Amino acid sequence: MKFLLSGLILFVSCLALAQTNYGSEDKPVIVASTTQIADFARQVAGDRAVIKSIMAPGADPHTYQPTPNDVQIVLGADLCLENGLNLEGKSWMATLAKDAGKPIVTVTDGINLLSIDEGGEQIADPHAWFSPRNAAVYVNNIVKAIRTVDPANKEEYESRATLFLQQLRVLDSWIREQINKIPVERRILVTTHDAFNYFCREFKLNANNNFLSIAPVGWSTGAEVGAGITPERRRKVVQSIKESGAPAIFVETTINPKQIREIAKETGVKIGGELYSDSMGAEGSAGETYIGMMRENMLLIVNALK
Amino acid sequence: MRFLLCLVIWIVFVGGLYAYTEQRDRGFATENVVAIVDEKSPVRISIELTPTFSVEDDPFALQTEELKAPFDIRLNGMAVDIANLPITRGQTLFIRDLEVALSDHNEIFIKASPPVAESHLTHGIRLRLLSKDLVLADQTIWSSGGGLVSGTVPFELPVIPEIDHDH
Repeated sequence: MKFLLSGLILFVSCLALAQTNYGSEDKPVIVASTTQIADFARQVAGDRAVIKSIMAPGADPHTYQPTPNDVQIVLGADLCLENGLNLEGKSWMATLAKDAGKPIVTVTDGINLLSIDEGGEQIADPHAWFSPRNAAVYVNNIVKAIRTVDPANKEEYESRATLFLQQLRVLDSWIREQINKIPVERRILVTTHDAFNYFCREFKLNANNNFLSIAPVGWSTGAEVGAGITPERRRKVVQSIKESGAPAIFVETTINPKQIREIAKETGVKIGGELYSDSMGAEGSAGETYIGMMRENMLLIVNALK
Repeated sequence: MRFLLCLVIWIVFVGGLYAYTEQRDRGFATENVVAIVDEKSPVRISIELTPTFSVEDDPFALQTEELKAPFDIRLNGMAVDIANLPITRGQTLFIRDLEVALSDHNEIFIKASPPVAESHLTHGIRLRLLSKDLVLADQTIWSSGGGLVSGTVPFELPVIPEIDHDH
């Protein structure tokens, strides 16, 4: 019986291995740290490359701990892509790539970064993808990186990127149109953690906070400087909600909603919904792509605040 | 006999008339109809572009090694170089005496990016294509919702009969 079972397992494993390799021969393997970067890379590479994401949908990059399986994935990579700016807490993606001896590209290079003052210390906000303009920089950096790995298909990568950049342009315009449906005084975005600074700055939300995020938890959910929740930060959020009369506040898909639910109860405002923030949605969900994620977030925000 | 004579006269008369008209039309075709160009022969054309916007750097453009003009114009797939020409809202840009090889069926492609800050406006470019005094195409390409102003305008080279005042 044991012999039969072992044989069956071996057979299934061989089948799975054969399935994995089928069609991926000679294709460059590109490993991205987050789901957003993986989506950008997929839009550029199409079927010309195998794109893998270390993080699964719904995972939190600030607190993520790489697994032995991640090490194996990076060992098989031709190119690694990271967000950088400490999004990947303790630079886990850079460490994985370095240990495996693989080239790594930081796709936020060239973005006009927002600095957050945390107790006198300036911290660059890593959540740059929340502005479609910045997403265009991500895409351009990815095109440059993939061209070096597979120069023979350069024109194809550029053609796909051109189409995607046009979609980002239309997305940017559509978000502006949607924001316009919210009365100016109700354009208050309160979320679980400080992930929406670029979004608020680009689309002019939270005027009473210099067009930056309002959140009880700092820019990171990990243990970095300026991260996490403090009583002072929580008090400011409650005060801000009461003063501004925000009609709703939002939880995020990657973070425990406990803090926000407590604040909603204390201030008497409703929960507007669950926003995609540090990770995109699961396969098959509306938020499984960057454009889908931004679209769904925007519709939730408009419905809750207008 | 009378019948045969009548038939010969009729054949000579009708045949002569046919020969005359055939000869006359052949002369007309070669001397009085002028094709603007032969197929694929070089021809001089002018392009007039009037945009509803001024062009500025596009944050959503693909950043390639080659510097691209803010306007991308392609005539039958060949890029038209307008790199140093100013493109300003409401002002017509003239590209004169462009020598290109055209055939009977041609197309001109235009792509331009209006400023992102004006994505709430509908923008367009009026395109006029002229060969000598003849307007080959006159069309406006529109875009709204933040999209690029982009489109292809097909045009044909007509065969123009010249009026011969001697006839």
